[in-house]
Parts: sequence; C-alpha cells; structure tokens
Amino acid sequence: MKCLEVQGLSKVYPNGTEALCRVDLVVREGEFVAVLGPSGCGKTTLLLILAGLERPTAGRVWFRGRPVAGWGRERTLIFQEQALFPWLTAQGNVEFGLRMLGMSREERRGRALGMLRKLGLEDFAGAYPHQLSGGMQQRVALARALAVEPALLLMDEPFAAVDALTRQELQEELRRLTRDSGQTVLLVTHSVREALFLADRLLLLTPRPGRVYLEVPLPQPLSRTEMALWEEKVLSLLAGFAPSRGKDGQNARPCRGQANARP
Amino acid sequence: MSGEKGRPAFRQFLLPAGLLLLWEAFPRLGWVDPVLLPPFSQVAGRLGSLAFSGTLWLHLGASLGRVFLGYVLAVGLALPLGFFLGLSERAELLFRPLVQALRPLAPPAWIPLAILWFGIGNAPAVFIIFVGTVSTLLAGTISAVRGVDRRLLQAALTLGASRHRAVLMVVLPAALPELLTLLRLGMGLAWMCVMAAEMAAVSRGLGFLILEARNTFSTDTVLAGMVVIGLLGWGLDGAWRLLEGRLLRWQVGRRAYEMLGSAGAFQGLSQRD
Amino acid sequence: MARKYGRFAKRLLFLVLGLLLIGCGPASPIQIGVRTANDHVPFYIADREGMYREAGLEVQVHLVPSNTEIIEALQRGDFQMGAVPVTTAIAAIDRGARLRIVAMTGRGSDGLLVRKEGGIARWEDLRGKRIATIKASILDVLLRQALELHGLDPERDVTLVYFQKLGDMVSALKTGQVEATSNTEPFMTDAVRQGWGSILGYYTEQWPDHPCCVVLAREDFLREHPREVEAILGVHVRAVERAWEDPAYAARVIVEYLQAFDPALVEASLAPEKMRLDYALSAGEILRMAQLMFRQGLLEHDPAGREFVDLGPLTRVLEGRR
Repeated sequence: MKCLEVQGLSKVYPNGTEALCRVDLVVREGEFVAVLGPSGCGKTTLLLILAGLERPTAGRVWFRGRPVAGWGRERTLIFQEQALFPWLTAQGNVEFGLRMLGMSREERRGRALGMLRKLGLEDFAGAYPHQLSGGMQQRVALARALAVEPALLLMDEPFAAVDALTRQELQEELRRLTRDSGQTVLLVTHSVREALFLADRLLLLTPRPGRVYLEVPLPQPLSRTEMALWEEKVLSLLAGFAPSRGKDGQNARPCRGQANARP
Repeated sequence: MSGEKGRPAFRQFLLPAGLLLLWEAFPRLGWVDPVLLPPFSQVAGRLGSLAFSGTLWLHLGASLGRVFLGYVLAVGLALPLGFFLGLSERAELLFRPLVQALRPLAPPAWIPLAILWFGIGNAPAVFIIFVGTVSTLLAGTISAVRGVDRRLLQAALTLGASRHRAVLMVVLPAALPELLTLLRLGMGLAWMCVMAAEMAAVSRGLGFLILEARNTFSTDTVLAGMVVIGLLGWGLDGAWRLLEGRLLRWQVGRRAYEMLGSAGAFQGLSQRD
Repeated sequence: MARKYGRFAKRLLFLVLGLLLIGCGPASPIQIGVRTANDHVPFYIADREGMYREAGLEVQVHLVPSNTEIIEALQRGDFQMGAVPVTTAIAAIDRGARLRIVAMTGRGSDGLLVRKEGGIARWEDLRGKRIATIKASILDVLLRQALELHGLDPERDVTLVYFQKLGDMVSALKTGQVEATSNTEPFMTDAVRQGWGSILGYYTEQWPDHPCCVVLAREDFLREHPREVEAILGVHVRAVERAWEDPAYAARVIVEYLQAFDPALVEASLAPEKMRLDYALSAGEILRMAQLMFRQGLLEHDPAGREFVDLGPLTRVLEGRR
C-alpha cells in the first residue's frame, strides 16, 4: 500500500535556482526509506514539499492516495537542528502536538511521559531545551513527533549536528522505535553508513538540480561485513555520478526531459 | 550584577554620588551662576516642598495617566497590526511607505494638529504620546515577528497546528522576548513624550509644571521636575525588567550563557591561570 | 635665541594690552531684546530711524517672540537690555535675576474677550465657564484681580484653562472650546472687527493706566555703562513721543516690523482708551503689581524688601530735557 507517491516533482525558486528536477519516488507503508545525496542537492526542499510547507513548480504528490494540499500532523517533520519550543519543557514540547489533537490534560500527560520514557528521558521531562544536550534535544524532537503518531515521519539529517557517539545511540533508538511500531519513515541524510543502518531502501539523489537517479533496495538486516561491502558500493555509485552527465551518457542540462534511471 | 556581594552594590552609586557633589559645589562656589543652575540641595528642597504640599502628586498623576493611556492605545494598535504585517509580506509592502513616512515626525510637530483635532484637555496630550510611540512599536513588532525562527513555525504546523493556533501558540511566545524589550523601550519613549505632549493646552502635568516653572524662572522647580521625570522613567524601566524576568523565566540561564551584553564581553577572561 | 623670543613676547604683550583696552570700552554693540508686541513699537521706531546711531550708540535690536527667552538671554548676558511684560520682569527679579526695571514702554491693552453670541454680557455671567489664560502672565494676574472684584473665586467659580500662546487662545474661543479669554491688543480688536468677538472689558477699569510692559537692564550694565543706558532711554523717550504724535505712523512701523496685522487694525488698537505708550514709571506702581503677584502666590519672596526698579537713568534723562 502506497503511503507516498511523487511524480515529476520539480522546484524552481523565483531567483532561478533549480532545486529539484522531475523527482519520482514511492514510499510504501511501514517502509524506511533513506534519501542520500551530497549537500545542496535539494533534499531539504524535497522534504518541505512533501510536508506540504512548500509548493512544487511542477509535478504531483499523493499521500495515501490523495493529493497533498497543505501541511498536517500526518506528515511530521524533524529538523537537523532543534526546533524545540524553548519556552516549553521537554514534556511541554511533546505534549504540543497532543494539544493540537484536542486531547484532555490527563491523557496528554500520560502519553507524553510514556513517549519520553521510551526514549529514556523521563528524568528530564521538566527540563527546558537549553538545559539539554544536543543528543537529548533530538530525542525530545523525536518523542514530540512520534507522540502524534504520524502516518509519515519526515527527517532532515536529524543527527548531523551531534557527536559520533550520540549519533550512533540515536540511530539505534530510531531503528528500534520504528521497527517496533512499523512507522513509515523518509529520512534524508548524507551519511551512507547511517542510511545503510536504518533503511529498507536507498534513493540516491544527484547534485542540484536533484533527481533520483538510483534506487537501491537493501536486504535488511545487514551484518557488519555486508554493511562494509554495501558502503563501498554505494560510495562508488555516488562518486561515479558526474554532475554534467546523465547515466545514459548524455550531457545533462538543467531539467530537460531526463528520465530517472532505475537499477 | 554578578560577582562578589558587598562591593558592586556600593560601586554603582559612586558615579551619581560624585556628580551630585559637583552639582552642589559648583553653584555654591559661584563657578556656575546659581540662577542658571541652583545647587542640588535647593532643588531637593523644592522637590520636598512640592511633594509635601501635594502639588507634585497632582501633576504626576495627570502625566502618568496620559502616558499610560497613550501607551496602551499605541500598543493596542501596534501589536495586532504588527503581527499581521509581520506575517503577511504583501500587506507589509502596502503599509511600509506610510509607516516610514510617519516615523521621523517628532512629537512636537504634531502639537498644532493635536490641538486642532482634539481641542483642550487630556485628549491632545494623549494623542501626541500615542503618535510618538506607535510607529516605533509597529516597526519593532514586525521585526520581532519576522525574527521568529521559521523552523519553529514549520514544526508547529507539521505537528497539526492550524495557522491560527500556530500564530498564537508558537509565533507569539517565540517573539515574546524581543516584544517585551520593545514594549519596555516603548514605555520609555512614551514617557519621554510627556514634556512635548504637555505643551499642548493642558492645565496639569509634570511637563506643564516644568513649562510653567520656566516661564516664572523657577529653575529649581524645572530641575526638580526633571529629577522626578528621570526617577520615574528609571523606576518604570526597572519594573518592566522585573516583569520580563517573571514572564521569561525559561530564559534564565540561557540568556546569561548566550548573550554577552549583560555580563560584559570580557567577564571571566580577566583571570589568568 | 633669547632675543627672538624677547621680541615675540613684547609683541604679544602689546596685543594683549590692546585687546584689554578695547574690551574696556562700551560693550559694542549693545544688544537689546524686545518682544514682538505692539507696545514695544518705540524700539522699532528707534531702530528704523537710526535714532541710536544719532545718539552715538551702536545698538542691535532683536525681536524675540518669547518673554522667557528674553529674560534668559539677559541672564546669560547675550542681551544687556530688554523689554518684557512687567509681571515677567518682577518674577525674574524675584527669583534672583540681577536685573532692574528702568522705564515703561506700554500701559493697558489687556482685557477679557468673549464671543458676541456667547451670552456673556457681564462678569458675573462667567460663573461656571471656561476662561483661557496664560499662567502667571499679566493676563492672568489682572484676570484674577478682576474676577475677585466681581465676586468670583478664580479657583472655584470658573475653570481656568492654560495656554502658551495668545493666538491659540483666540482660536479656542472662536471654536467654542472656551467661553472667554484673557487677552491683549490687537487680538481683541481684531476679533471684534472680524465680527465674532466682543470685549467684555479692559483691566484698566479696575486699575486705570496699569503698567503693561517695561524696559529692563542688567545690573552690571547699569553699573558699568550708565551713560549708555541714559542715552538709550533718551532715545526711548523720543521714540515714544514720536508715536504719540503720529499713531498712524506707529501703526505702519508695527506692521512692517511684525509682518502681521493690517495698519487700520493696529491703529484702531492703539486708541488711547485701549492702550497707552509711555516711558514714565513709578516705583510705587511696580511695587503694587508685585504685591498683587505675591498675594496670588506667584512670587517666592515678599516684594517689600526687594529693589525692582532703578529710576536713576530715566530721572536724569527727563531732568536733562527740562
């Protein structure tokens, strides 16, 4: 069952910058999809459009069979750097989405605390964001997003700003949480290792203007050695893509009739 | 005021105390003509007698009333309008020329119009205070709203907030620190307008008191009035800061860490191990 | 080396001495500040006809719209002499300004203006009404005296509204914001000529020939340059007499210097029953005004002990003419 379907998505900014060029992709229910690509290939723009916060210049997006018309809690977005509300405690932040749902105070509190417990933050429920470390803040952001039980969780390089050790911890927690609940996730990252660890499927994006030029399904779970091999392969694929030529060898000009390649 | 307990408290009064001493000495010694600058003790005495006779409170009350009214009206217009313009680019472009044109007009410039439109009494004074404050408040509100991190708004929206709730529950609290500073400065601005506002046809008020004192050559009353205005402005500012501290309790700790202003840029660096 | 310096030092010494000598002469030119008002026309006439130069003086007459500024300039020493309302002069001297009144320039010219259709025909009709006035000015002092004489308490029986400018008060009366205004010529005659105003009465009714505006001089100027003061007062006397002889001419000069009003209006307002230019002054009437001000709480100190007037120069001028 298709959770998300994107066809021919293009985005050109008013100043002429082409961010995305005819992106096609599909995300099925329960899937964990990772979008890989170098910086500046339009990954963030893609997420914003999928979340309904920006409009594409061309192409269409369907969410659960219906065209996307705007934003909503069913497509929740987590950012690279904390977008936690600084005037609310960790608990307050997690409760926010639940307030929007009109939940009663009792229920809200229960759910929020439960969520925080799942992420090991129950002792920090009363702390303000600035009192938490980067890693803990991202955990709270995660708790906040998952608390509203979105159909699709969109993540924009969520662990890029934390140190390597915390990053690993967070990745493990994310995998655990999403596997347990069957949460559909679309994660954007430029860490190949992270993508290999978390995702069921990889989508490789070209540099600007971004196009999906390769799809790589991953036979999870991967062992350590398998991951290393895959890493090499994917890195070479990423490196092999020359910005000025499409895979079919033609000179790539910005967004003119380039078909998406398929493995 | 950070650091050790006893010393800084004493230190911050050194400079004003020194100035007061000079203010007393110079006229008494004749280095300054006492008709032009009466000694501090004379001014203090005048202030005392004004307070004792009740005259001071009469005029003070009149001025405070006008300032608050003009200020509240200005805030009442500037805040909602500022939010609206801050959130809507198109609307702001429409309003911008008008706002920028009105901004540089100093309060005294409005006096003739104020009297013409509002006649005599409190109304023209309130109007002048309103007009002197509103465009700064408006521009500041727009800036504060615009300064809210876009991602906070985006997070709120993707957590299921409607546009309406996002503005009230996210943009407003996010802009609150800057808004409170703006409101505090606006109150100071309104208070500064008092003298100008009371040049219109009023019969009471601190500005009027000072004006009348000047026309009857009571320089000590002029200075006493200015001292009161200064003290009151200082007091109002302090009260505002207290209010800010309470409303923005979540900022405590964060502010001191992130902002260099209050602590001094080289605080803590003077120690060498 | 030393010789070069020696010559230079000598030259410097001569220069300094020369400057000192120049400084010791009459303050040149003498600065007089007068208000932009009808009863200061003697100064305008004197300036226009070069009467100061004829008397061997170098004088600059400054027209200043604000009494307070004239006093402040006198206190600073920017002016050596000035012409202001008598109440302003008394208040300044009471507060410690080292000035003295040396001559009169005008009497009368103040009264109460109402609207023709305002329904106020007598002073008693003012009960409960709003009167525009300028606080602590001569308009105010005489208004209060008049109200009391007609049995009205200025604080309780009427509402006094304070303004800063004469013109604003007339507008306020015209637009109905107040029912009466204590004002002065030529505004009052102007309102009558425009058809909407009516003069309830002049303060000369209660105090005939009351002093209005006076000539002031700094005490140190009086001390150090008595001959110059006499010369200036001599010019003043001649200018006043010139105005007496030819009111129409005086009116034209007023219009020329103030760049306001029209000659017919000004001439009408110079009518003797309304105002009277004069130079003569008595210490007694100044004291009377000061006592009235003191009773009204406008002065700090009891005027009895104070010297407001120095009639020496004027007396010598008038005697010299006989």
